Amino acid sequence: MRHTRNLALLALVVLAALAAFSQADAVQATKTSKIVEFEFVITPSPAPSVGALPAPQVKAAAAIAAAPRTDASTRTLLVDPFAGPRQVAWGGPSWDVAPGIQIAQVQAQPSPVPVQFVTKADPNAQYLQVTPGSAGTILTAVYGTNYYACALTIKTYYTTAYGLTDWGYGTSTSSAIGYPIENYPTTSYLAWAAEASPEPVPEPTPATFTGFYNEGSPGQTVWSKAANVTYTGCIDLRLTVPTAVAPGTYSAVIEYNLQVTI
Amino acid sequence: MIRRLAAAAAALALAGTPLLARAATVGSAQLDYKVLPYVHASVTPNYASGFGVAGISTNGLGSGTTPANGSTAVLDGGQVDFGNVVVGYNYLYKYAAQVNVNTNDPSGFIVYAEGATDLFTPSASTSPLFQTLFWLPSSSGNTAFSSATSFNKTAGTPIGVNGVNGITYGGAPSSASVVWTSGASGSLSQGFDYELRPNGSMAISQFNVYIVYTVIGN
Repeated sequence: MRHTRNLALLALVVLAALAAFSQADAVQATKTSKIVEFEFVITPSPAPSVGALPAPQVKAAAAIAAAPRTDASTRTLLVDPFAGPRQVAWGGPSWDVAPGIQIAQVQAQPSPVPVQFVTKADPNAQYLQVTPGSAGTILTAVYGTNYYACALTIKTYYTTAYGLTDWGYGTSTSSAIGYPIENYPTTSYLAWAAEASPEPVPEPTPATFTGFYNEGSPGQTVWSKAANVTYTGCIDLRLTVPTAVAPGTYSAVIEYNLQVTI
Repeated sequence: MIRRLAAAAAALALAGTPLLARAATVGSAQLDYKVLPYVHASVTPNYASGFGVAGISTNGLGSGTTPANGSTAVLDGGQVDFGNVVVGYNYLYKYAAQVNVNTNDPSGFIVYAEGATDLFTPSASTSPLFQTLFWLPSSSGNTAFSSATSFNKTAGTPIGVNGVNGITYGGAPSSASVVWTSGASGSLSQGFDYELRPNGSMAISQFNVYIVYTVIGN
């Protein structure tokens, strides 16, 4: 009798454990992922205008062109080429190609490099589509704060409840990803805000941005939706360029994952 | 050759002077001369073993497919053939092209690279080259997500069908298309990898383009 009771208790414990863990397993699984790469081209502030002054080399070329061709020594030489002291013939720099004057530059153009590829449809396009905005993925930036309205349009769908997550690709708590997403614990200089698509025109700047998660998986939730809901959202970006960052091109790689209930 | 001619001309000038002179006159001449510069260049597609999209774990990451080089890609020639690519994913093509320059120009040279056209299909429809095909210097650490620069479609005139024979320029190519500069003469080489980022909205088709490299002495 006691043995039977123990068996029943053990069975209950096993059932409880199974129930608990099976619920955890049922929460989420990654259905598909998309990785988007932006190139931010940071340009320095323009130099102050000083008017239409000609460049130094242009002035030099103009001076050479306006120089008198027959000075006194030249006239003497024409009258009597052998008079005067012995002279050394010398063609100085004035007979060289004047600064600012271009001569034909040598060039070569080898046979072109042929490139080929065949596109195939994305098998996961019905679940997750990430489309760059009209500006594409090469975005210019200046020092200070830069906003990019609807830099990405993301469309999601699944037959069960699902969520869209993101993080900086390649980030973790121990790697060394640099500007602009950086790596934990440094806060990302690139931030996002999700809005419904299409956005109003002109599109107001969202009040709240979230720095891109830079600790790798599991990332942060962009949005969550119920089963069979198709949702299209815009991702606005905000890039902060501190003065310590040198002008140049910087990559930001973002991974989006569709987490579905199974 | 030019040096010899210049020296001979100087000698003749000096030797001829007494014949015309009323009194013997001697002199010296200093000649500064320029050697005609030259620039020779060649480009080798698929220039090293291990070329192509195969073997890069980040190629098409997330697409669920395994990338493989296209059949027209062969070592030291052929096409830069990415094979089949899934739209919406990134691909890296290692050792796509090596530019070899031989010049006596002490100021060095500039190398430009541009698409002769946009990406074109067998049915002659097109898709933008800009922001689809990128380049970056070859490096063992490159991945499909390495920072890269987009190729531009040329503003020049393609020569031959789709630019198969190159590009004619009114002046120099766009400064935005500079891929390599050198301030020295000699025989120099630079390898390039290509990145492909086909937009999710691209048509399903075969695409081609000719990338034209132009080397100009400084």
